[in-house]
Amino acid sequence: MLENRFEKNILTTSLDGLFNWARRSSLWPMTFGLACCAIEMIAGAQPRWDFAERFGMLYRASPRQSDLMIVSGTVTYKMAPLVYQLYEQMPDPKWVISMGACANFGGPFDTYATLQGVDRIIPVDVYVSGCPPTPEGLISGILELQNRVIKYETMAKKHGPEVAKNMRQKEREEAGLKQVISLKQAGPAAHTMLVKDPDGERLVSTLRGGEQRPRLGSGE
Amino acid sequence: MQEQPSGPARQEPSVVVALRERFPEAVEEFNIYRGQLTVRIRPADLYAVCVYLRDEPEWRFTLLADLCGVDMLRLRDQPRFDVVYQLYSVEHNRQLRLKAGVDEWGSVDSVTPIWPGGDWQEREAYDMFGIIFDGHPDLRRILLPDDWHEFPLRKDVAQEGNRLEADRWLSQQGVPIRLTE
Amino acid sequence: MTSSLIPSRGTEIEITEEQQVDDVHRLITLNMGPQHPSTHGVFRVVLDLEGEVIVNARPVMGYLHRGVEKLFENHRYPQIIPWTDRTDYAAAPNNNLGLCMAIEKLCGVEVPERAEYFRVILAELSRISSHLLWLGTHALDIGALSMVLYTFREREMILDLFDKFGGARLTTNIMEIGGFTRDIPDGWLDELREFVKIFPSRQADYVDLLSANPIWLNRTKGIGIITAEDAQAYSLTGPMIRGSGVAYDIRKARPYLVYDRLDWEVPIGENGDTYDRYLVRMEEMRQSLSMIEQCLDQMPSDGPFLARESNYVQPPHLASQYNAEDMQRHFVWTIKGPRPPRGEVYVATEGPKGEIGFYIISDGSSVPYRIHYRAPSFVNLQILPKLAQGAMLADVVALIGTIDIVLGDVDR
Repeated sequence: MLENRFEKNILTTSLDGLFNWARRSSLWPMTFGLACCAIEMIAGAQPRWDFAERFGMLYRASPRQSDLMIVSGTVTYKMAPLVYQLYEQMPDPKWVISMGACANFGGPFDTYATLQGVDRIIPVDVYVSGCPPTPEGLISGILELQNRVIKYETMAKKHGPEVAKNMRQKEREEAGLKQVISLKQAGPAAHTMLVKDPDGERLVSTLRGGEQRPRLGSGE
Repeated sequence: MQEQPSGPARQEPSVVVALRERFPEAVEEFNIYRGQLTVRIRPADLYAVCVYLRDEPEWRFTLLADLCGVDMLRLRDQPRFDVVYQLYSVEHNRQLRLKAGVDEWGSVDSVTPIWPGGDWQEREAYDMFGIIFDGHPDLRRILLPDDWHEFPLRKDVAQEGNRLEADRWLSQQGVPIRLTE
Repeated sequence: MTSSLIPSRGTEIEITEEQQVDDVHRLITLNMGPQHPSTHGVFRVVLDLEGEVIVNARPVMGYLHRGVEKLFENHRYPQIIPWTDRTDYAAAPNNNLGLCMAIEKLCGVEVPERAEYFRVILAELSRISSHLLWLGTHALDIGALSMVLYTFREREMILDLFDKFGGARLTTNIMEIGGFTRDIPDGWLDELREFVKIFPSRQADYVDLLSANPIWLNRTKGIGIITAEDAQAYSLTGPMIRGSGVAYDIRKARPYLVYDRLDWEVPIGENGDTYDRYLVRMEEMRQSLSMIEQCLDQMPSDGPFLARESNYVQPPHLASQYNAEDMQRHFVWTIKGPRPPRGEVYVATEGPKGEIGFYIISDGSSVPYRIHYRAPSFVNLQILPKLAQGAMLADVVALIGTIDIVLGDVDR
């Protein structure tokens, strides 16, 4: 309907389409290497493959500036809380590539110390197979991810505005709860801090040091 | 597990002779396999023997190449663990392997004061087997989390360990993980 | 009273009361890692700082502890080799070699001469590739950003050679007990000769890039000095001990394979600082290249590539298809696995990072009773707190870089 209504060199698209195009064309992965796969990831970023520059990717050292997490290697139990924390710190929308057999399902390490697949703790968009995958393998994973990113839909578009509003409310409540817990985790340093409750209206209490540290998700 | 019979007929290596002279009770047994000498030392004498081997100009074992624990559960009754020391003398280009037995929850003298390089290796042996080293400055777990529930390299622990317990640990760290029964 | 400021993530770090209360000489605790680009993986170090000076460094590791030693003692001997790739993944062939030599020593297997020469070639290639990775990332950490682009160019050539021979770039699984079952592909040696011809001029480029670079010199000279006594006391091996002037190289001290037939020297440093260790590793690459060259000249062009007439060694594929006896041996070898005699050996080989030791206890079954892997990075890293004490904050990355760690090797 809108075609050919404007001058030349003007394209029409939806705002979502524009954003998704921008997101797809400049995925910013986090500089985050775990094991052997990280070496192949680094090798892929070097001039021979240069996938970082070719796909508009820019490695960022901070999770807060990145929207792609390449889990490149074995996730052990000791590392798993940190992987989860890093994932949580990334702003939405965010994507995860699970690179290599270890991150996919534990790989050759069926042992006491290894988490059997990173998808047990964070959602994964693309799995890349190999032990380790060659840089070409990772590139194909990134291209696959780009196909997904371009189809990314907002919650409102997918399920309607009412669902999205409820979801936002729920997330805000969860975030408020987390704030309380993270302050409690800080221990005695948080002595004098006043903590707002989830709806942000009144002050709940001052925390005392030495309190039992509340744990998220325990006993479930 | 020794192949050769140890008896007076066999030539004693010079280091064993020297140790017997200096510490009459220390050498429990020795054996040579594929040209490598292993000397089992009475745990009570271990520290003195190590100091002697490091400082004596004849030996000068200045480098503790390796230290590890072994769970002897399936090979003998008592004591449960062996601690194995691989010594190397840079000056004389000579190798020596010492062994000392440790009971379960028993302890053996730490060699960290003698060779600072033993520090992490002893912590690793503690982490993997629960062998306690007396006199170690900072004996904590090194590779696994502090509050881990098992000593994984013991022979009575399965290769997968206790997954349920591990998942529970993860969930205590704030990671939403589905616990499988 | 002590308390923990850093929330529990596996390993608690104690913060003393003194650190919390005293505002004038307050120690700042800085957490570095495990997600940090300059710790070469998932290594974490907690630094107590007074201003910019490090008072205390507390390394925390184990974030990549995958339990390979448990896997070792639950699998048959030939099955273990692939896991050794994944410990020090920057130099997998060296680890394969260490394990294969330990098993061969345990069983008393004699490896044919041609295979020994080829093993030296692969081990030295892998040493060069490991040193190239070290040089690139070490320079990157310190601030010479372009170095890594050049070192990876040559590293790719080596990985291509591994790929052509073994079928994998990184986790090569390239050595086998008793030698090699596959022969050298056609044209492989010519490609290697090509590499040997090109590499010296490329290495001269690195020297040009770094030797006049004031950033590089300022940040490596006089940093992280280790005395010869300390190096021995802390069980350092490899370039770390040689940088301090101790000429301990297992290839010279207890020659294995054909190292005693080659003409080469052990480079040592004078001052024991980061710069000397850089020089040592650069010279080691030159020596490795000359060794490869000599091997290419001396290696018999034909001859057995795999130890024969031994129950511990895999019968060659081709023979097992035509020969009933070999087929039977192949069957038994695959199903039951070789059963070494009861005994124990400790075999150390010189890896790019230091002494790679495998201590095997065999109880006579096809599964080892215990294999301990002596990881050079793990033992070498112990000196980090001592080096960091009194150093500046910015030097930490230089110190971690000079130790040349690979976290798969530290944590196993």
